[in-house]
Amino acid sequence: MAIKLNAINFKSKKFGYPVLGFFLLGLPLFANSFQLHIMISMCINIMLAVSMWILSTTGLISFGQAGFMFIGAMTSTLLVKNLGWLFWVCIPLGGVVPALISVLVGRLCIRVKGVYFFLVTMAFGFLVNGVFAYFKNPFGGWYGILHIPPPEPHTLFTPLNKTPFYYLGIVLTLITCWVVYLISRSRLGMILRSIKESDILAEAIGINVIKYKLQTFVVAAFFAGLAGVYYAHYYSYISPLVFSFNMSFNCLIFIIVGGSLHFFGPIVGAVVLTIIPEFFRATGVYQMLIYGIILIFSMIFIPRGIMGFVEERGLPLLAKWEK
Amino acid sequence: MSGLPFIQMFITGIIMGLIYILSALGITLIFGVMRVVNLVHAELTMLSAFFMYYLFEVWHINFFLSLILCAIAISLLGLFFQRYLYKPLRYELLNVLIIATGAGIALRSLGWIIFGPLARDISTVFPGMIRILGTPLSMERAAVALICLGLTIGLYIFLYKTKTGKALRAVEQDSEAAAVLGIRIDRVYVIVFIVSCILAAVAGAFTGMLFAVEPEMGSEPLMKCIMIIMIGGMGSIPGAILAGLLLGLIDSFSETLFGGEMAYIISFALLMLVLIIRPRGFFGYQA
Repeated sequence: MAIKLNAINFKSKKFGYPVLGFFLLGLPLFANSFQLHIMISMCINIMLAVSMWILSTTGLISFGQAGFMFIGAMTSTLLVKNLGWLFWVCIPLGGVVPALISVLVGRLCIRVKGVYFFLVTMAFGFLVNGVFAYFKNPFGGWYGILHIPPPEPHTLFTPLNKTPFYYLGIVLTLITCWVVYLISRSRLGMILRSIKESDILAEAIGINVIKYKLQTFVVAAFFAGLAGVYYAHYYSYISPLVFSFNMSFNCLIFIIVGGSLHFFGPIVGAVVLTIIPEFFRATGVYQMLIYGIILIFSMIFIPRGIMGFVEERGLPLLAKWEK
Repeated sequence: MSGLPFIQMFITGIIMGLIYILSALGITLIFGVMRVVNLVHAELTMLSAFFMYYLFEVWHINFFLSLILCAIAISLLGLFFQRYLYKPLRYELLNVLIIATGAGIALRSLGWIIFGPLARDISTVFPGMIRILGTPLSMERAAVALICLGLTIGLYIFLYKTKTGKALRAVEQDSEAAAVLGIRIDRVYVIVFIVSCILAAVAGAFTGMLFAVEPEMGSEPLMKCIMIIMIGGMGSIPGAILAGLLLGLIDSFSETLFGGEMAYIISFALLMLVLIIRPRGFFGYQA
């Protein structure tokens, strides 16, 4: 009998969350700037992976997430850099604009199912990149846009001081995770899972499949855009080569390696797969080789992902220990 | 616009299309039969080009002999992947996608480590020029196009006229029913992988000959192949051929007339349009 993580409500959980919270809050005290940079890129990965995961609970994998991220990043960049708007106004706008576009795109894409949905969204991602690359003014072409100003106040957010960026990233990530968690636990989440099991059956019991899929698509696009805004103002550089298909594909890797059936799957996947390659950075050319081999072995030994493995093996042990 | 550039663009498009088709057929075969996307295909073509480089350029083995050796080596490698990576996962789409990506990354970085970033050339075996309708065309390209065409026709005959090919198509339509009728599914999978790997090997050797041999040479055509498969319909041979020619022509025309970025936009807009209007592609069957 498998034990679900949600069913565990013992001291481990009571103990674990505060420790994690204090660790995240206090990290800038003892971490150097490189470690903070890894944490920040981890935040971006988590936001993107979680936004993709909520869509995957309906059985749809969207390879267009990087495209929505790019739209969000571009919105905020143009507004802040060319029109001089406040960054804090542009953060929500950078989510809303991709969400609006996703309503239009979603109405077209949702009609197809399964593999074809991957492919339509993938084509959309490429299309976004192509359009941004074609119009050199104002989108900067293949070279992208350089020198995107950091958030206000500029005295706090300086390029050398990563701590404010880190806290901003943590806050945005927590908001994303929290909303997605609420959705996945709500009635909507259940409906989404029922659609994944069988959309014909779901339709037969009166669920408006298209409507719920579209809603989720919009939510996913919103958070991808949010991640894009954060990315643009942290790296201060965006280009079509950055928000490529590989970025969306990496998110799929995070989800599958983390475990696609569980909410913590994409988070764990993003954390593990962002940190592990850094250990091998010193090996230089062998880094990507090791990364590839890790992917192969993770799929061979834990095909249901890290969270699937934890639920199967780790939680019974934990439950036994707590008794 | 005068007639000459038009013919030039047309011929370039057809030839590019034929080369794309060769790789696309390999991927579409495996997708049709096993329902997995074999992303390692790109790396297999890359490795084949490097084998070709060493066999033909460095050790001066006869061109066709080295092509055959290449095909054997790549087939063995592909069978290794099929046996030890795909089979244990029971051909589940997403898991295989990840494991294939992992293998692809590993092979590509191995390519960087062993061969270095320097691009190499395979010297041509078909020197000279010919003229088609007054347009100059290098003999090399014409020969490659002809061989691609021949292989495609050969594959078609194999699939539709031989017993093995028919078994293969039966598994493609319904693997359980095929198993009930006494077709050994595992053997069909092995055959499909061998055929696909041979196509990859040939495509790699010719791409290496026409362009350059480098570790990243597989990634760009892979995208084109996936587009061809999608437009033509997954698992469909005639679809892949038609879509390959179409895409080659569109690429060549729009690139000459509107520039590279616009060609990029047009091809992906077309892809989206096709997928939305007719998700299963031109010739795909209902999933």
